[in-house]
Amino acid sequence: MEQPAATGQAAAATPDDLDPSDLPAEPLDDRERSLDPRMVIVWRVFGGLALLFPLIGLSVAGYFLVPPAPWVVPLVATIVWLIGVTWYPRARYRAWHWRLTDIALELRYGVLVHRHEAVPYFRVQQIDISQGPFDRLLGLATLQVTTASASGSAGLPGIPAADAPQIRVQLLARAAVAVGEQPDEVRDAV
Amino acid sequence: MPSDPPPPPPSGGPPSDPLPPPSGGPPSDPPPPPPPNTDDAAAVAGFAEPRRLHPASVVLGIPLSQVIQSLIFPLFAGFAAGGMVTLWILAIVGVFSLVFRIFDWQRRHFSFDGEVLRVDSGVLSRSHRSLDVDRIQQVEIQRGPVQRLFGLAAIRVETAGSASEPEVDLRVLPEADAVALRAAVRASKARASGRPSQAGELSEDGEPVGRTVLEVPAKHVALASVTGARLLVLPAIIGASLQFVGQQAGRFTSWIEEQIGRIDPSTLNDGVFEGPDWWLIAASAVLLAVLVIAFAIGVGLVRDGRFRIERFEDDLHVSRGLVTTRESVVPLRRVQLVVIQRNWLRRLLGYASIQIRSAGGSTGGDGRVTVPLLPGTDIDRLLREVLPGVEGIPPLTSHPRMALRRALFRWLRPASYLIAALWLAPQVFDVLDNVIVARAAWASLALLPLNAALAIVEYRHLAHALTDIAVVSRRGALSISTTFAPVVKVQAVTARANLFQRRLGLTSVVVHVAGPGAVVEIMDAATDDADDLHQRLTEHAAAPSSAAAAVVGSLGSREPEPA
Repeated sequence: MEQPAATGQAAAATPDDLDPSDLPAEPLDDRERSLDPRMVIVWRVFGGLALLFPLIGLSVAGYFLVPPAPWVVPLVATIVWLIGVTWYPRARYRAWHWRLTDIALELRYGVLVHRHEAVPYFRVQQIDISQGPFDRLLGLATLQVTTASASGSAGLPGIPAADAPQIRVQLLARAAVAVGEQPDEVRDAV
Repeated sequence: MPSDPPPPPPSGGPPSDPLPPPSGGPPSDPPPPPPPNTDDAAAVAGFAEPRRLHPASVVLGIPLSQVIQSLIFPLFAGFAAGGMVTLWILAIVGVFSLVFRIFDWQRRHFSFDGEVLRVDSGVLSRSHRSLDVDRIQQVEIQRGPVQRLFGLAAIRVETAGSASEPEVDLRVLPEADAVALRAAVRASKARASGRPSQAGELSEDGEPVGRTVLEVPAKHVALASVTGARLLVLPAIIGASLQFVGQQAGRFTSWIEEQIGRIDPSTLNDGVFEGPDWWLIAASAVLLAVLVIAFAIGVGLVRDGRFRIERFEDDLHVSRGLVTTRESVVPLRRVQLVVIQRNWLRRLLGYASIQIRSAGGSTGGDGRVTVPLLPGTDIDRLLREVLPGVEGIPPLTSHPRMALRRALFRWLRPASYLIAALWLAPQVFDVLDNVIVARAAWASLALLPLNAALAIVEYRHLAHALTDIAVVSRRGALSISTTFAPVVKVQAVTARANLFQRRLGLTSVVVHVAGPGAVVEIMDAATDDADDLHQRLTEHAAAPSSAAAAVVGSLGSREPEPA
């Protein structure tokens, strides 16, 4: 494939925010990858917090508004919260996979709703690396791959912060190669 | 508004006082490839030096709606404080804005040198805008009634990726200048994209003559208003204004209550109608209905009257509007989605409305142009014009029978929530008026067969197709929409299946194209079909060669690639 060329062009794609030592010796192959296991911690903390306040509100309302059985709603809320903190993050982690195929970045994720997203390299316009405070604490990063379509852009969380720039460079290089391979009129037409 | 604008001098030439040349601008020479048409260069030359808008823009430079919006608050503040204060506030606001507008006019300059459109503006904080001609998507000329009276026009320039606001809004210019500037931008754009400006025939004033693609007669515009959402415009206004003048509304409702209160059950059987003034109520209902319809037709004709699409080279020029003529340009290469919409009423009558969405532009929101009404027999013809390479609605694959179960589930679930709430509420809460709730609970049962019928309708319309040129999806129950996206525009593909869909062997595919909310959703296809679609669409998006070459070839601007 075009991978030797890809590494060659990588430095040219983003000259300023990278030094050559960041460049991966081996281009990433197309095997299926999981996220960093520490994402489970992130999801536990944030999922737990996000669920906490609505569920407390619901429990209080249920306690006062359902006179025959005041404890039913708080009990259900507690069970939901426990599931949201214990089982769900791990299931989410098991469901998350990403892959760099010959033509596209493919993401498969989702516990209840399975999603399979494909973002062809040719359509990649921008790749951002973002790190929230908690991400920084754990040394994780999120890659945001943007296309011309807002809804067709993909977020890849749970990448070790040290690897993120390399993956970004690889993706950018593949995007550059994919654009270079297209004849002019195709580039015009898209 | 201050009084009438001074009658503008007919010439639109640059103002007499000297202006500093733009700093750092490229020379006004034409770009390296020599212009094939010397008229283009001449047209560009007229705009190479920075120039001002027409002096009338002091008054006409702001849209009327903005003036009204900015006056509402001072007016209300004034009325709250008393009559004289209102006048003072208005006068002060008027003087201040007039002075500000004069400064603004004096400091606003624009120029176009064949490559870059520049606009320098701002009184307190200066802004310098440069638009590369490559990035310009649409150049729209607007003429309001007042503007037409004085031979003026406004130009809106839109670019790819601009949100709701146009990137550059030049109002107002002498009409001839506006047309010339548009022609110059268009010619430079054609040249920049390496295509010959195949102007074709020119009319006597040097404007290229387009081929009329579509004209919507007034009766169709009127029919569109009566069968569409415009019917709701007047009721919405009435509702809003009733809320606004709450007191009047109170009086009105108490009148209604009084009328109804006069119904005395004992007198009804005697044949003595001492009850409410039924005639009056019926007459006002009829009057209201007539008003609503007339208003809808009026609004429709004003906005969409003389709807016309012309083709100039590879651009569609859409003009519509009786009072304010809105003109927008849809480059065929930028068309992202075409949606054929048929609500149940239009389906019965054999009509459809068609929405064309292009990337970038902001024609009334986000690059959408809607053909108000089109006979069903003309759909294929318009599709061929808008989506080169598409021959009409292709044969569609319908979805497996399991999709019916999902449709039933989707329609019956909200109905069942309502029914359950109405049946359970009296048991849990004892504060509610049980008689009314019980009646509503029984009545709500009627939703079940109704929603089931709608689910069957929806299932029967679910279908999709993928050709070399376009991906097509049909869906909807009350309003059926058939969405086309050219495969060259596909940016990304998502397949999605929730727990229930997986159990039924169904998957939805979402195809993303550029533009806010611009997706083609293929709902509940068989999982095998969906996986196949996902893969083929990803391949198309990754390497659109064959399909793209076919489309570009049929646009006639380049030699088609030998396949």
